[in-house]
Formats: sequence, structure tokens, C-alpha cells
Amino acid sequence: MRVATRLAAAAVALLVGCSSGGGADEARAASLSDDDAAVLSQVLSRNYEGKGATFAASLLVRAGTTLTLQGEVDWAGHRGRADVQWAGNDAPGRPVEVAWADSTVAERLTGLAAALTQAGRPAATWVARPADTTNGILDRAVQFVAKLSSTQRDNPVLLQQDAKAAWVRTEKLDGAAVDVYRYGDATTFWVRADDHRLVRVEGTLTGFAGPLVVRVLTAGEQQVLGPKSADVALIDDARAVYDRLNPAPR
Amino acid sequence: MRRASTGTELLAVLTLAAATLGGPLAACGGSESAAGRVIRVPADVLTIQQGVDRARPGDLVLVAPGTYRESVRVIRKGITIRGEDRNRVILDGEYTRENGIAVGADGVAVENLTVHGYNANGVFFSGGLGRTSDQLAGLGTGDNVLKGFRASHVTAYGNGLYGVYAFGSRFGTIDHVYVSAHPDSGIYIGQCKPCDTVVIDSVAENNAIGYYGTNASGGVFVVRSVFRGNRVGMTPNSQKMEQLSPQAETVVAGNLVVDGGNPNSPSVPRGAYGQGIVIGGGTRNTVLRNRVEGNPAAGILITDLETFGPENNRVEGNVTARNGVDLAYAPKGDAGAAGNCFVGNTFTTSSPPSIESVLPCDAGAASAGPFPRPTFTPGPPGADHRTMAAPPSQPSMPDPATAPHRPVPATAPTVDLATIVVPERP
Repeated sequence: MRVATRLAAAAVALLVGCSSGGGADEARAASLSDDDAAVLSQVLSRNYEGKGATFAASLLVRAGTTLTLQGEVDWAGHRGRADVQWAGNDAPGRPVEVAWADSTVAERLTGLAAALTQAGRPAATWVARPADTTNGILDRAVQFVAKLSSTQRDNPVLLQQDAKAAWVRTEKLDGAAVDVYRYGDATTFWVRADDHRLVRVEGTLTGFAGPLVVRVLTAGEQQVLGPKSADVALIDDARAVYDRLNPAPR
Repeated sequence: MRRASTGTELLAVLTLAAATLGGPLAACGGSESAAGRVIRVPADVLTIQQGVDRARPGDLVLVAPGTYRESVRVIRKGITIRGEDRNRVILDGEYTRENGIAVGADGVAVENLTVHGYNANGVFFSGGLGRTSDQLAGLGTGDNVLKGFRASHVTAYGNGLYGVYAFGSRFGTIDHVYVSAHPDSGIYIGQCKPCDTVVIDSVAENNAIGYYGTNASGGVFVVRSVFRGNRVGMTPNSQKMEQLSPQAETVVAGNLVVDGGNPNSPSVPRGAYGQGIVIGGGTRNTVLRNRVEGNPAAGILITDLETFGPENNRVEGNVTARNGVDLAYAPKGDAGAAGNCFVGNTFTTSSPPSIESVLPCDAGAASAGPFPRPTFTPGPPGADHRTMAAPPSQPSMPDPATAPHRPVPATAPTVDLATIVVPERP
């Protein structure tokens, strides 16, 4: 198990580069001290207690296609909003904005109001629907951001015994010292050394060409401005138009 | 004798050792005695940590009333940390510090003080303290364990995980503690085999869980204590997140386990709510002569947890009332449950009905099931442990300035189960 931990840590270091090197760091990377565990065990609960953040996220969906989000998340209120950009030749052009609350996702779609009116429906600029966290590209990215918090910290003692948790290295990010930790099977945290605040996350979501990279831009309570109810059509009332405007893959 | 915990052998005489205090009186004022020196805080040193660092085995760090904003780490064996006044010697974590008192050495006692406001634990005994993760394999068994610990007359409230937590530790006594407002559990004994640890004459209330015993096996006695107003009262259980599974051989006896499902307590991470005593995938546990009342989901429940089926647990002589269902047996059909039995209990409702006929303790008479599984409702969102009220003053230990002190021995504290009766109704 310890060998596997070292290999995994080394693999992560190779993938993202910038290792600070050195024998002491190599030894540390093979394990998790109780001080490291204390920090790592509170990364998500600190986010919850900090209430929210502005963020930027990007996901290499497949070669040549990138999804980018930039917005606000209210971790305590389980909601958020982001501008959406798709880049790439076969990227869908819509939606241009997403908002979420608990397990509901709303998308602002270009041309939706006109299409609904043409279909004899009340005009709306947003469509609200249940989150599709199994197949939805956008929804999985949103869910990842939304779940970067926890009402309760982890037990550091048990985290130390979890082979999937490890300190990886120290490096500089935007001029500040950060510790890089592996957390679980597919998540890496960059945590500021001074205040232990999460500033960057990489998560491997299955089925995509690259990781989802989330940068926490500013931390603190956010006022999330989601759509007004008058601007929202429920998916059951707008299914045909929605499917025409926003063809899979989402 | 304790290993044979499924039958009447458990009822054999075991004696609570008078191990908590003893030996010659300690000298005062920093002088030496056969029992060790007394180091006074703040008269001799300014902080508790300085006192601990100065202490040698057998010494007493005697703390005067005051608020101590520090986190104490103990790596010196055999010392005693004692407050002069349980309610006025206060370690305050201010929600910026990790543990109140973290002990990683054998034979240490913590007595007669209050710890609150720590992000992790109030008082924490761990055989793994200071180790890195690659040094923890096998922690909690054999010689790879902290040997000898005691928390006595300690009040712990409003800490971020546990009030009093023993992990990878053996030969312990937790007595006369009061623990409240913890978002995981008030008292936690985890990952030890054998544990040889006793919880006695203690109170846990308004926690997510009163007593939590994950993979705590062998010689665990939780007796003569009160578990009141927690979401879940007590739960010996098996889980994969800790080593040394499955859990086995805890005796839960003579406790008052009442009014679970308190919506004004912190919530349980797994969402459990309203149960009094839960055996979750444990083996060879005995639930004996407890009074279990007013738990809205279930009084005493035997069930599976993760992949662990409950085996050979015995529920005997308990008095239950006003629970959602007084006695319940609800492992999944494929959980591998076997040998669990109920006998001599006072109850009105059970699942399955007539549970003592369906699952009797007479060998060979039990039904194989499967049995219907009662549905339990998740609890409401929990209270913030940081804003819950401080508890009322608790009784101090007798003569804290002069009571003897000595290292906690590496011997198993024992309990005379024959003297333990069903507690009176509150």
C-alpha cells in the first residue's frame, strides 16, 4: 500500500510538474503527517465556513473542445452562477450562462425566447431542469464546483490512514507558497501555506480528455444572481425547443 | 472472561479497579515526593504546555483556574494534567486550534478541567500521534498501541469532532466526563484490539452521537452512564475506514439512553437520527440492563453497516419504552447476520414482532429471517456546535490539590457487571 501511495504521488508530480524536489520533500510526499492531515481535513469545511467564492474553471472535454466557466458559488447556500464558454470546432454554442440551486440547473440559451414564442409558449430566456450529473458535461462540471465544500471537516486521523490522501509537494502559485495535496482517487488540491485556503483544484472526471481545473479567484460570501422566475421556463414546458437549441452532448 | 461476551459468562464478577487514583500524597509547591513533583501553572510555568514539557513520569501538572488559550501536546509518559477546579480551568481553542490536549504517550491522565472550542478534539489519546501515514499500519493492536490513559472529571463541549477520543489506545478509563455539542460524537473509542477500556459514570448529551465505537474490540465497557438528547445515543460499529474491522466485544450496560433524535444537536455525518443504542455491523456485543426511552426511531437496533453484518450480539434485560420501536433487528438480507438474540427485555413494540420468540438466545432456536426492515426518517439539519450553549457546571473531583497522582498503569480496568442494574427513570 505504501508503495502504491508513492507511485501515485510520483505520477501526480510528473503530470503537473514543478516539483520542488529534495530528499525531505520526497519522504514527505510518501506520507501525510498529522499536521498535513489537519490542514487537508479542513479544506472543504473551510470553504463552507467561508460561504463562497468567485471561480474560473476549465475542462478539456475532448481534443480541441474546452468548456470554461467563470462565476460565483455560494457553498453555504448550495447555489451558484457562471458564464459559460465553449471553445472548439464541434463545441455547442449554447448555453451562455448557467445557474444552479441544489439539484436544479438553469441554462440561459441564445435564441430561446424567440424559439419559445414561435412555438406558442411564453417567452423565457432560461430553462430550468433537474441536474444530469451522470451524462451532462456542463452539469458534471457544475456539480464538481458545487461540491467543493462540506458542512463537517474530515477526521484527520482517518485521513492519515487513507492511502488516497497525500501531501505531494510545495510550490508557488501566483507568488504565494502553496501545498499540493492529493485527496481521494481523482482530486488534487492547491492550498495556501499561510491561511490554508483552497486556491486551485484539479479533478479527473471520467470520460473527458483532461482534468477539470478550478481556480478560486476570491474567497468569501457571494450574492448569486440567478434568473428571475419570470425569465425561466421549466423543461417540461420547453422540451422540444430546448432539445433543438441545445443538442447533446450537453 | 471478557472475550466470552455472548453468554452468561459476561455476568461473572469483574471488578472496577481502583486504578484511577492511589499512592502517596503528592508534595506541593514544586517539591518532590515518591509520587513525583507538582508543577504549578501558572505559578511555576506560564502555560500548561510548558508544564508538560518540564514534567517527568509521575509528575503532576496542576493548573490553577483561568482560561488557557493553547493547544497542549503530550509526549512525556506517565504524567498527570489536573485542573484545580473543573469548571474554572478552561482550555479554549477559540476555533483556531486543533486539539485541546493531545496525548501520544503511555500512562497519561487528564483530570478535572474543561476543554472547548477546538477544531478537532477536546482530549485526544492516540497511539499514532506524531507519526506519518506510512507509519500507521497495524496501529491499535499488539505493541503498536498507546498503553494506559485516563480522562476523569473532564468537561468537553463544542469541539469540532469529538469530546474525548481514544484512537489506537489500550488500557483506558474515561470516567465522570461530561461531553456535549459535538458534531461527531461526545466519546469515541476507535481502532483498538483489544481496547481494555472502560467508560463509566459519564454524561453525553446534545451531541450528534453520544458514544461511538468504531472497530473498538475487546474489553470495552460502556457502563453506568447517561446518553441524553443526542441524535443517536450509542453505537458500537464496524467500518472499513478504520483498521481492525470488524468491531467486537463491547459491553453496554446499565446506561440511561434517552431522548435521542434531538433536532437541536449537530447532525450525524451519515444522517442517522433518533436511535438509542445501535449495533452497526458489530459482533459479540452485549447490551445489558440499560434503560432506553424516548428515542423516536428505535430504542435498541441491531443492523448491518457497510459490508458488515451483525453477528452473535446479545440484547438482554433492558427496559425500553416510548421509542419508535423498542427493539429492532434490521440487517440487510445479504449482510451475513447470524446468532443475534434478545432475551429478558421489557418492551412494547419490536421489529420483527415478538422479537424474543423469533430471535431467542436459546441456542439453535433462532429464525433465519430475512426480516422486514423498518424505515427511519433522516433528521433535520443540525445545529452549529460553535453556537450551542455551554453546559452547566459539573462536579469537580474530590480534593484536586491533594489527591494522589501516578502514571496510569498498562493494565485492564475491570467492571463488576453483577453490581450494575437498570438505572432509574429520570
